[in-house]
Amino acid sequence: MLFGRRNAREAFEREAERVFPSVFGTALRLTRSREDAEDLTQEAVVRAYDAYDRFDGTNFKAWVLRILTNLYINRYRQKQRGPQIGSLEEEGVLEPVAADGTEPDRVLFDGLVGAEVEDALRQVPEDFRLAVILSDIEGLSYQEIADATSVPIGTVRSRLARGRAILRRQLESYAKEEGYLKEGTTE
Amino acid sequence: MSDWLDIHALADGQLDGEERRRAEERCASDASSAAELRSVQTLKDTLRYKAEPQTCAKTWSRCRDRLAEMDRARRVESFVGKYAWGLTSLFLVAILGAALFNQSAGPRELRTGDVAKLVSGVAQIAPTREAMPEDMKAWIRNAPLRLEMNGFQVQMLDQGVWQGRHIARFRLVDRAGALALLVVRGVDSIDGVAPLAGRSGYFAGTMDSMSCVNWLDQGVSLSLVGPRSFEELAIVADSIRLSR
Repeated sequence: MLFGRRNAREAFEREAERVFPSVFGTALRLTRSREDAEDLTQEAVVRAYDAYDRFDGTNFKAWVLRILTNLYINRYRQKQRGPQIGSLEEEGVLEPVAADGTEPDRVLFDGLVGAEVEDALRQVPEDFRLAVILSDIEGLSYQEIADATSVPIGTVRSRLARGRAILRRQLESYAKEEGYLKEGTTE
Repeated sequence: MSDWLDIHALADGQLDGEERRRAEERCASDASSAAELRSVQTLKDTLRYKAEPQTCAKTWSRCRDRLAEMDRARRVESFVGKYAWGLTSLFLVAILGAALFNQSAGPRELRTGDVAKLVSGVAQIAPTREAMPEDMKAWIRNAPLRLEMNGFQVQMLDQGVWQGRHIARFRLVDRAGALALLVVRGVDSIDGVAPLAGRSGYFAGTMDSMSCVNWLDQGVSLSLVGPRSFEELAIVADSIRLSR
């Protein structure tokens, strides 16, 4: 029994160590505070370990991220002040991500550095940001995001499209500020 | 709206079969759809390759510490859970054992109030088999704890058990008058008396205007009570010795 437990912890630690940068990165991008991110990540890992015998063995990263997201939604979000912009815009008209222009986004965003991308992501309202992080940075499927955020797949798709549109606008404004794109041109 | 969402889903690799074929056809035939697909793909690539990796070695280390702590707590819980009945039984046996021991041994302290009761005869001593021997002198000589009392006449002996203790009560007479000697086995200390000044090993107290000098010898308490001064009683006590 004792050795069984030790083996289980070793197996868990191997898996957890592999996905830990993703888990911590997601926590940091959600909370936007290193201290909160550390607390959130630790709590998520502890809970995951506690429930490791119930893990179905499919996608460990998605499973831990689901625990982290649920924890964040139930605990940390309550602490945040101010209106939830995301929920207000949820039912609005869906815009295309692409802008009407000739300059391809690839050229436009080439000069941006990581810090600018992170900063632009921070400006995206929370629900949309969460969907974008889980999909585009962590590579989760729609179903896994739906499970993690406890919303239907249709909502996940909608949030992703809106989040990307908002993020693109933010990146575009950074590109303008940094001179990668001249004012007056659309792209 | 769903057409735009399908393009996002195509970029995300989330379409299968017929849905995927339709979305691809639309992107091939419609410039705005193709632009949307490229834009989404570029955005995804930008995030994937430019999102900053986070340093988290310390946080991981703290997590590992917490996991180890959890395991330790689980081991203790498991041990207690598994052996709860055994541990409870062990404690119960220990408590019962201690209770039995206390009952049989009794408190190893003698109170002056008890001495007064015993000396005055208020406390009834349950006679043991060898109580009331025909020949007191013979009993004294043959007793497991033998008293050597030179210069005294033993007028009365009363011996038995009181509150779980073996007790012997003597009435002694010398030229100055009568004295009571109380011998109690299994006593470590005497409560309610103070050390007698200038007399090491003796304790003194007053009971009903009579003096009492008390001392301990080989786990036996000896109390000499009579209408004399402490010093006089201590001199008498000097001549009483306990021998095995």
